[in-house]
Amino acid sequence: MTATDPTLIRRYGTATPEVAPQPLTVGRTTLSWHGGAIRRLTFDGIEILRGISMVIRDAHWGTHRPIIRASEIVRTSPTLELRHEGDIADTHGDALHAALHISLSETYLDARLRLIAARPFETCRSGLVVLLPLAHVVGQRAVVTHDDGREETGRFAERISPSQPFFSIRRLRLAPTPKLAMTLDFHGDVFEMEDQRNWSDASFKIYNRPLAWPAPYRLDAGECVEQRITLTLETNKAEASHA
Amino acid sequence: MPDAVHVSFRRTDGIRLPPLGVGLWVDRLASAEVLARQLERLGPNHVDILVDLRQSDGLNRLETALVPCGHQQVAIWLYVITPDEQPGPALKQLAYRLNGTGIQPAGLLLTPAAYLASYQPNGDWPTTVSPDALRALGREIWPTMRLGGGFPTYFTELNRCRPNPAAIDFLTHATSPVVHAADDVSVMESLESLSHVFASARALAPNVPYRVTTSAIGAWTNPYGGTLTPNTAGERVTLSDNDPRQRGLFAAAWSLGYMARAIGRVDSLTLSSIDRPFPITDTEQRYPLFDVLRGLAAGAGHEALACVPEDDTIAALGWLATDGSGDVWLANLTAQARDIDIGDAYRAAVFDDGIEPDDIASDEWPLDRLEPRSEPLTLAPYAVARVAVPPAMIDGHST
Repeated sequence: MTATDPTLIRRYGTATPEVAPQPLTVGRTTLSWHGGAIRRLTFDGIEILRGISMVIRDAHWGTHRPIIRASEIVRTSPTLELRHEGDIADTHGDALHAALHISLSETYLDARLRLIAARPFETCRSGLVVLLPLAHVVGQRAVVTHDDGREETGRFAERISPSQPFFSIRRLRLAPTPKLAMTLDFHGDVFEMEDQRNWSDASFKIYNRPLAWPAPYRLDAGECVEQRITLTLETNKAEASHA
Repeated sequence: MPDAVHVSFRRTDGIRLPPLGVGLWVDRLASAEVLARQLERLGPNHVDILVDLRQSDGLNRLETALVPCGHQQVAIWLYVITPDEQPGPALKQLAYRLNGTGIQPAGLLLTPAAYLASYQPNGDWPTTVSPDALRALGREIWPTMRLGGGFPTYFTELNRCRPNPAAIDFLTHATSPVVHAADDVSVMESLESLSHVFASARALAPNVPYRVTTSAIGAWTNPYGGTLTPNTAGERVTLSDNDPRQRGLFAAAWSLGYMARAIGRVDSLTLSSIDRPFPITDTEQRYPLFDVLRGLAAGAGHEALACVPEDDTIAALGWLATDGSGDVWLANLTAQARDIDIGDAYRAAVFDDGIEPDDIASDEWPLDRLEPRSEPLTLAPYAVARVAVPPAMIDGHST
């Protein structure tokens, strides 16, 4: 069914529709591919990730909208391969090329981002963002491996934390259910977490480049940034670590 | 279409629907006539008025706004922005002018202008007058008035600058779902966080009334970057006060979802505003949101029904009407049509995209025209429905 303009205006106040999400299934894992981002990744019906995407901020924390060069489902078997590439342009033309490649099997996700600056590029943050959902996460125990190798055991607090719950996250482990454990590994920058419920977002956000570092910062001409986030799911092994 | 969503209804006894009001920015109000007309037709339980004492005509505009509110006998909650330097004289002038109108606000929140910006918990905070110090100054001027703690901005600011709970008479903040993401799915997902926001805020001051002040899809100010996102084209963008969805069913459904989460968790709720920044009409037409706010404001004080849909694609709320039936309101929070299973004999009215917007002066209220039905109720994307649920379908009804 195609909605006509007056219908869209009555729904949204604008005749401009949004890109429709594309539901995808890989065995027991489902997700929605939505404008170059993964949303609502579930395993056996349990939401594991609210989202994973690349975010390129400008020098004032505004969010760039890349000119998309390619955004496609490359293949669906034996693994699902997704590709999203675009350029951020300024008045002189293309300034930053961004390429996100995601590969997904039933229990393993690999997201790789490559940024190449054509010219010096000012940004407050450019990189990969992971959103964790609230259900099955709030109240759970979290085991964080920091960049210096130290391990910290904490908890996703019931009450909303005014400051970041976890810093310097190299690895994050939690058990959404007694029968399911998940591990997120972060590479290519220093990652930390924000309790986004502060802003009425239904997620915890894990993002690169600590807020305490100077912003904006500059990517030099020719500089290449590579970031990678992997998600590993394990079933039936989590009984002991679930709290 | 997926299977029909079943909604169950149960009495809650102690829980009442909170009063529902609208916001009002005195510097954006077109005229006292517009205000008088809209108050009469909307029937809000209160008006949260924002006045910035740094603006030279702020007090004149406030007086203009107060007169129609006085005629309607609607409760006024004043949200006052003060200068950071020497706020005392500005407060005394406000007190003098308020006395002159003979209208006594139900409560006051005083916010130093520097605190409209957000600060990191460990960052550099303003060295000028703090909200706690400003309230203490206010106590000297208004010894018997309810003075609040919190912010006219978002929960984050309250969470990072918590008032002394023993020194406040009410706690308050707003929310906006478009600080970080403005797509349709993210905006509706934000409703899921509200129970966390409400519980966390309540815990900061458990013994005083908790008011959620003017909230809407848009943002009226940007505490994080100084300016709002320019959005003259009316696109879905973060941190904008011109969100297109305000005009559509989308905002009606979102607001219904907001109230559904607020029942039993907040003592007072304020959604959207008369005129900008979150208008509920334009100069010719009512937005669907107007009809929903009007309907929900009429439920204030009634015993709430626990209305539990099987999944979160549907928002549901309701109250016990005087005839023992349920006055139940439903919204489809998604872009896909959904069927709702309500039994085989009920009355309902649907507001969906097949209905022409009503003229601003019209006395036609689509959600007041309930008609008998026996099939599952189909809700088009973001459609809103009002259902009269028979007493026999309500768990815990008196027989």
